Amino acid sequence: MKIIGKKAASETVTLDDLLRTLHLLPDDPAGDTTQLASALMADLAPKSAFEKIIAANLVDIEIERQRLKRWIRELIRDGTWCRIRTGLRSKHAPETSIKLLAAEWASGEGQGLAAAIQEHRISINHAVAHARSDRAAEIRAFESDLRNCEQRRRHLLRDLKTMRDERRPAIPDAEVVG
Amino acid sequence: MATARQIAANRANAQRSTGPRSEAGRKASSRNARVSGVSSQGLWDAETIALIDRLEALSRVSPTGDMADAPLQACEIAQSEAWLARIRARLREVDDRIEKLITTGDFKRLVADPDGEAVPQRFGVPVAAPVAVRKTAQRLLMEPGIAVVLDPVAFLLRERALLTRYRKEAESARRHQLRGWTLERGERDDEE
Repeated sequence: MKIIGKKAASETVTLDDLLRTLHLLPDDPAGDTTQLASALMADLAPKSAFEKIIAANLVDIEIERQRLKRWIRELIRDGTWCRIRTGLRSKHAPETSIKLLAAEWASGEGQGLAAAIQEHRISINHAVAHARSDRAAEIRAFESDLRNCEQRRRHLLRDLKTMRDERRPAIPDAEVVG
Repeated sequence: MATARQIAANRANAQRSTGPRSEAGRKASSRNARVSGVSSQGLWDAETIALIDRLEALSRVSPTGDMADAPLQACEIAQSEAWLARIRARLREVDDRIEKLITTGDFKRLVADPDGEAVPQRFGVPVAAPVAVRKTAQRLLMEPGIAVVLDPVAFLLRERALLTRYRKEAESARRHQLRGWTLERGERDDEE
């Protein structure tokens, strides 16, 4: 039952590294939201006040998508650790060692974790699958929200295109809308 | 039908209980019927008020330049946008709280070490929880030997789902209004 990746043998591998190597987490949505917002606004270049409303909404959607992805990642990551901890306990790992690993994991280091997983032959794939099922309700809700974001973005982009294609209303620009 | 004696007893009891009296008590009970918080006065922040002002000014622009001839669609769009801004503001608050719970703080510590001494007390009942849930949890917490562990993320998700439904409706209404506006302006320009 060896499903652990090759990097697991190294002592410097963290749980995050393992999950990333095995592609068990959604894409990393890391990025500066302010930078993203300004880049999007520059790209959309809204002309009228209503276009600005739509552009601001598109920026909101993008930020929300990033957030939702991050939440899914965190839930799976936390849940995986829970399952690993349960696995370590069921395989009679010393309690002090589990506490040490917990502290390491919480601080984002987790250097001994990969070694512990390999030593006690815990399947990381199973741990992730169980974590997904433990938090299925939340993850489903977030994934549904992600799909909604896609739909809203499509609608808004279509509206923006229609607005630009058709004759635009002769209204002055508003300074900031959103 | 209540008897005369019951009616008298009810009246006597009513004299004893007059609801919350302290400022804190009144403030807490004022949140009993809260559902989403979108309609609360607190959400009319400076940013939203400024937005409504701008949109109202925008709605007054008419083809003839006459202020009295404000297009109906523009007013409706302004109202929709203002409503949407309030929903978005509330949603942002809820999202910030979810973010804080999921990515930092007690939730993470509890996950890391559920039996550890670092978390002396399990999660309390969040303020955002419906009053019926709060009361049930309080009752259970008072009974010895029963530990109630409530997941605050679940409560917040329920509120988020409600707000996203409101937002969807508001966005749909605004989309139709924007289309109506574009269409009417196009037709008017054609006539001219």
